[in-house]
Formats: sequence, C-alpha cells, structure tokens
Amino acid sequence: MIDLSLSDKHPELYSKLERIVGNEYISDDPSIRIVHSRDQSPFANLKPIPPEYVVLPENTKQIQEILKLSNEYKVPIVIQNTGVNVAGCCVPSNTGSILMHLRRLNQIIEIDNLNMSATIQPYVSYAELQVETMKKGLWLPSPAAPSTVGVISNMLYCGMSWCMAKYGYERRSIICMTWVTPKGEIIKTGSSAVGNLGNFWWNGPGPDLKGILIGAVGELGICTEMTVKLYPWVGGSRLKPDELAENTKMLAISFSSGERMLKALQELSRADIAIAVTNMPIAWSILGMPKSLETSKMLWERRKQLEPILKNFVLVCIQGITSEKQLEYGEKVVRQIAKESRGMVIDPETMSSPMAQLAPDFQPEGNRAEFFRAKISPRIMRFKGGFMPAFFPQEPIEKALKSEELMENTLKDFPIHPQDLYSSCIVPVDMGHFGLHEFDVFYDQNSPEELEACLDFAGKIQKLAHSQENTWPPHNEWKSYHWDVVKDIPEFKIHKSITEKIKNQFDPNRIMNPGKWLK
Amino acid sequence: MTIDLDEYYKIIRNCSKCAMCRNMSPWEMQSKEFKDICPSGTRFLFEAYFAPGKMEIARALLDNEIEYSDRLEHILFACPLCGGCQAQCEEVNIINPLDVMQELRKRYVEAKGPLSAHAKFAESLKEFHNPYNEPHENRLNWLPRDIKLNEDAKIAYFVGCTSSYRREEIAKATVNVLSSLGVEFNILHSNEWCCGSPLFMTGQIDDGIELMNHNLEAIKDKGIETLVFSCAGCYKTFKKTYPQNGGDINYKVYHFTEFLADYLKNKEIKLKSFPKSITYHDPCHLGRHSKVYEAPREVLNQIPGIKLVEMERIKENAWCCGAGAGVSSAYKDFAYWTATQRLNEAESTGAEILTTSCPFCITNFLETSKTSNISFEIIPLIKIIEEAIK
Repeated sequence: MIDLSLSDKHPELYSKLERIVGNEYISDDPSIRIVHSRDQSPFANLKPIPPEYVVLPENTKQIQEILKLSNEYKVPIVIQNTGVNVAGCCVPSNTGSILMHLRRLNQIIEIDNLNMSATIQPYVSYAELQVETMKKGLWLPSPAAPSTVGVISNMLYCGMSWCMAKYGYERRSIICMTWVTPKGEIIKTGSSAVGNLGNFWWNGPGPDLKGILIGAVGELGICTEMTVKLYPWVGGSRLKPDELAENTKMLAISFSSGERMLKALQELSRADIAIAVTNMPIAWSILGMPKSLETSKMLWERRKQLEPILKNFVLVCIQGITSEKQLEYGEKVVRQIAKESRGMVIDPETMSSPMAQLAPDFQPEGNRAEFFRAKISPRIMRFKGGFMPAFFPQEPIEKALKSEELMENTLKDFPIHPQDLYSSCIVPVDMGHFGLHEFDVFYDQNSPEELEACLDFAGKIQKLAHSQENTWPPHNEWKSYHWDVVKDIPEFKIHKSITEKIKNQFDPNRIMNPGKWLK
Repeated sequence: MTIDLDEYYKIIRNCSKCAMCRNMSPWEMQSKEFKDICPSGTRFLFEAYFAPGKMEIARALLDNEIEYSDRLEHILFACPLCGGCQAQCEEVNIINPLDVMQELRKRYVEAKGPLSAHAKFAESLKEFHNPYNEPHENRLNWLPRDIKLNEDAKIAYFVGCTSSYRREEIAKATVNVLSSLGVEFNILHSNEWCCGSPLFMTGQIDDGIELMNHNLEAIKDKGIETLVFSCAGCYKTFKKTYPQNGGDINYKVYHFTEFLADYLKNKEIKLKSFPKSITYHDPCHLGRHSKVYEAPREVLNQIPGIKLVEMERIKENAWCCGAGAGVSSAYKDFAYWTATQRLNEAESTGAEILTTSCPFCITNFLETSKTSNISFEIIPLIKIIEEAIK
C-alpha cells in the first residue's frame, strides 16, 4: 500500500511553486503523484514512494527558481526526463519530494551540419533527433534501449549503443553542456563557457567539468542543454521497417565456440570497417524478434535446438559512408575475419530461419530498422514483466568468458527460476580496446520474492567479480546498487571521500535526487 | 475486447513504461513536429495522462490507494480513446491500455455516475434516441424525395445520428451513391436509433445495451443480410462493441468505403475525373479500432485525377481528430486543440482537400477550421465519390 498522505510541513510551498510554473503545471493530486512512485526497477518496486508535488518547468530560469526554493525549504528534488529507466533513478527515495518533470524542455535548438553537431534540450529522444538529423545525412547511433529514451539522460548515465566499437560510449559524444547546479548556479562547459565562441569543443577553461556530472545520477544538478556530436549517415533520410537502410549491409556470423567469437569480435573492431559490431545473445533474439509472446515462449522452451546457430552469434553492420567501394571492401574484410575465426557467415535473408523452422507463425519483421532506431526492444520485458541488468562489467574482451563462467556458476544459486531466463551479451568498445559485458535477469514485478532475489544476485556477483580481480564493476555508476556494493571495498575509500566532498560542495543541503548515488 | 480488470491486475502492473505509446512508431516517424500519438498526454503533459500513467492509476485504484477526484475524472475522460497507445503497445507488449481505460470509465460511472455533459446526451438518447436533443420524427428530414428505397432489399444503410441531424450532406451523398450504382437498399426509417457509441465510450454501458437491443431487433425484423455505414463510430459499434456486449451480428457489416472498394473492384464503373490533391485522415473507429486502412485509399485511388498525398501520421499511427469518446461534449477546447494539430499536419502536405470517412471527424474539423487559418477544403469522402459518380 503506497502512502499518499501529504506532509503539512511547508503549507506555503505549493503556492510558491505554482507562482513559478503556473497553475496548469503543478499538481499534488494523488492520481498525478502515484504514477511517479515507481519505475520498472526492483528498487522502486519494492519500496514505491510518491513525490509530494509534480512540477513541469518551462525553462532554465524556472528550474533555477525551483531549486532555490528546494534549498530554502530543504525539500528533496527528483528529476524525471523521459522516465524510461530501469534503475530507479528518476523516482523518489524519500518522502516529501518535488518531482520536476522536464517534458516542456523538448526543443532541438540547432542542427549544425558543418560541424556535425546538434544542440538539444532534455526531453528530446533519440528517435526525434534521428529523424531530423538523418534528413541532413547525419545521425547519433541508436541506443541499446528503446529510442524513446532522452538523449541527454542516456549520455549522462551509462548510455551505450550497438555502435560502440566505432563511436565509443554515448557520453563520448558530449561536446558542451548547460548545467544548473543544485544551488541554482549555471555552469556552461566546453567552448560554450566562453563568450560567443560556439558549441564545438568539449574542453573549456581549466578541467573538463562535464566529467563531474556524468554518472552523478542526477545528484549534482540538471543539464538543460547539450551539444552532441553527430556522425555521417548515408542510410537515407527515412527508415523503412522492412528494408535495410540504404548503402548498408548487415552480416551475421555464427561461431562454434565462445573463444572464436571473442577473437572475431576483437578483430572486427580493430579493423574499423563497421559502424556496429556486437554479439547478439540468443535470449534477445528469441524475446525480441517474434511479434507474439506465445511464439517467444515456445522458442525459449526449444532454445537448445537454436544454440548451434545462435549461441555465439555476432552481428556486423557496415555502411558505405564514402562510396560503394567502401561497402564492398568492408564486406570482404568481414568475410575474411569470419573465415580466419572459423565463423559461418549467414545470409541476412535467412538469419531468422532457424527460429522460423521451430515456430510456424514466426514472422521476422522490422529487425533491420531496429538496429538503427529501436522500437521492438521493449519486447524483452514482456516475457516476465521486468528485467534487470544485474551485472555490467567492463573488461578486456578476453576476460569475457571468465565472467560468463562466473555468472553461470552464481546463477546456480539464484533462487528464482535458476537458469530459466537470463541473457548475456558482449559489445566491443573503442575499436576493441575493451568490452562491455551485460548480464540480464528477468523477473515478475508482481513478485517481491523475485525482486529481492534480483537485488541479492546483483550484489553477490559484483562482490565475487571484484574478489576475483576479474572486472571493473563500479564503472556503472548509474545504478545505486553498484555503489552499495563497492562502497565498502577498501580501495574505494578515497574515491568515496572525494565524491562526498564534491557532493557537499555542489549540494550542501543534499536536495538533489538523494539516495541514488551517495547514501 | 472487454477485460476483467481484477484478473488483468498482474498485466497492468507489468507495464514496462517503455514509453513507446507516447509517440508514433519510431520506424515510420518522419519529423519531430508530427511524432506524437497521444492527444491526452501531449495536451495535458503530466505523465498520468499517458498510457503508462493510466496503467499505474488502474493499479492504484484496484489496490484502493487512490480515490476519485476532479483531477482523476479529468485524466479518465479527457481522452478520446483513440487507441493510439494501444496500437503502439501491441507491437511490444500485451498491456491493452485502451481496453483498460474503457473499463476504468465503466467503473467510474458505476461509482460516481456519468459526467454531467455525458448525462445530458444520455437523457436525450432516452427521450429522442439521438444525442443531439433533436425530435426523433425529424430523423429522416435529410432523405431526398427522389431516392427509391426497396422495402424488400437485403442491404440496409444505417445512417447514424450525426449524418441524420448534423451532416445531412453525408447521408444524402451516401444514398445518392448507392442509387447511382443501382444498389437495391433500404433504411431502418424510424426504427433506427442511435447505435449507442456515445454511451459505450463514456462508461454508460447498460444504457448502451438498451439501444443495441433495439437496433438489433429492428434489423432482425427486416431480414437484413448486409448493413452499410457512413459513420465510422456506428460501424465500429456494430462490428466490435455489440458482440463484446452480447449482441448477435449474423449479417455482413460494411463501412461504405469497404462496400465501395469491393463494388468498384467487381463492376465496371466509369468515374469522372476529380483533379485535386487530397489527404486522407484515418478515423480512429474505422482505422485503429476496426483495422480498415486500405479501403478508403483504394476508393480514392480509383477516381481519376485524384492525387493522394499522405500525412506523416497515417493508419495505425494516425493522430486523432479529438472529438470522440465524449471529449467534444465535455472538453470542447481539448477537442479543438487536437483537431488543430491534425489540420496543421494536413496543411503541411500541401493538399487541396482534407477528407475522411467519419461524420464526427468532419464535424470537429469543420468547427475547428472556423478559427484556423487553413488553405484547404474539408470534404467528406462520400461527397467526393458522389461527385465522381454523377
């Protein structure tokens, strides 16, 4: 039972907020507040807490004024942007909060063709930015998330894409930011900090301040404007659901072992011929591709029959950015690497045929457009209702198999549906400099036991991984449970002490999104 | 479909809040300007007005965590039930937000009674069998004297209240077209009552069922084998809502666009040229609710001279006209706001005519256009066909 009672601590706060945003853009009605009490994460589902007020500011000035009020009354403030979050970052951890929704800051301010960048406000999603930039021969790679996510939030958290082998983590594309600190000051980063130079260079005067905001999980302020890099796009101004983008080829390669697949992933990344190189886990194919849930369920039951093809499976996407010859050359290189790694290149037309053979009603559709602008990826959540990236190590690619083993061994003790449903995926980053490994577990949001078990599992595997010096777990600062796990690790004491000082400096009243990063 | 909310609880709770239901399909999206799919959320901005918010509200109501308030009433009823959210959700999940919302309205009415604006048309329906407070005896005032009806015909035209009392030109054009094609048909005369759509859509289910029972009896008495509609709302009510509420439909049910598409395919009909660029608006009740997308386009494409220029949001992704599900009676400004968005989109195509196949959409567009600066005409699709067939 969610407690929706209002505190009577600050009876005048509502009218003061109302004066800032206008009466149409504030509410303390239970039906408005209740929807912000939980997201899809286990944390928020176990302990949903509604905000006290929901406000919709229109601009940076209103945000500053709200923050000043929030400091004056020492009322916690939680920021929600598009709200597509699976980690409980955008819902309150404390009672009595103001939830500030950024829906009205939704403009693409500029697309700079010459300098290949776009300046946007927080509520602009990947899909919106892509439709406008693709018309101009530019794009921002699609996130490994629904294309409804906000670009700015995704960049400041841990946004990643299928294209990380070439373009790196999403955050690498940040050029400049306008940032309102918890005290209401405005910081501009990069070249935008200096007069009218323009938003073209990420390094401003002195240290690169944007690094402080990245990964702070909304605890150090609000980014109200960001300039992001765009990249060349020759796939056409409009996507077609059933066709691959123009000047583009997709190659699928199946390997008989994990070792061979990893070797190929590294080689393909180093060759720098593809816009995307990624392992595609069998679970994602089964959960995401069929339109019907029943078909997914049936395929999952028969997954053993699919493993010979889909267990160690790589997708490579190449694009002829400069010419058709570049496309031809890229394909030759991919085929050569596949051959050297003893991989089997599968004709894209028959990529899904193993699934089609098992499920007569299986109709692969749209998976080609999906790679460039995600639409059907949320299907992976419908299987059980919820999913949680439980373990998210960054690691040298060659360590991935050890992580896999660790994961599978730990799963044996997983109290819910042991090994019933999980997925594991490795994506090379920065030309194979390192890899991102993602382990997902799936749970029923209706089951507190399953929610608890997911959290327990995440904590257990993080500690195990650290004790084995296998991976770098805390990179993923966007999940508060990671911090919970690492904060007691001796090597992180100094890290904790410094971050506490930064928090105190920026947010002495601890009003900003409390409980998400530092406890 | 109708659903049992209590049984549906677990599914509602598992809405993943992926937000796909806020916008049209990202694969078909062509611009940021015309990407929205949910009039209610886009206009009122709070998350509670979008489908994921409404699913959370449904859960909270079932858990007795919230009570009905003025705001909650607004969230539940300031929504044209266009089904834009459901069309998107069907691609990725199994939540069925439209069905959940209809059930929420039904429960609201059971607990609190209908909204006053909705109660007004319910009263009119009881007294006059139409929601417009018009005398029932005037229902056939539109009928041209020269139209020959065949009392023994197996095909009947169900006129609907809006075409009978507000958009008589649609009713006239429909019978003119049927006559020109040599179709032997009849109408239900004074035995035609409102289909009940306004009641079903506003949670007044029992009263809707009374109208349904009357209409079904009247049709049965006539021995009808094929029923043709010019109203998307009536069509959807017969095709989907009646069976969901126990109505037995054992005859063919056609929207006139389906009827004509079939007819034009099978018969050699010489159509006059209509040299205009036209954009077509998919009515929600015909499109998303009944999945009829191609027939109107097929008909338009059969007419020589017509250049069909599509808007960015079409078919499953169409933006609603804003009038349906009791919105135009209870929240007029919102209905006009929604229509304005669509008129702007139509304007962006450069078409000379905006057409559609629902009298209710036409009415809202025409009313809204009085205060909009638009450069195109708004003409019912049946009128265009009438011109081409003359």
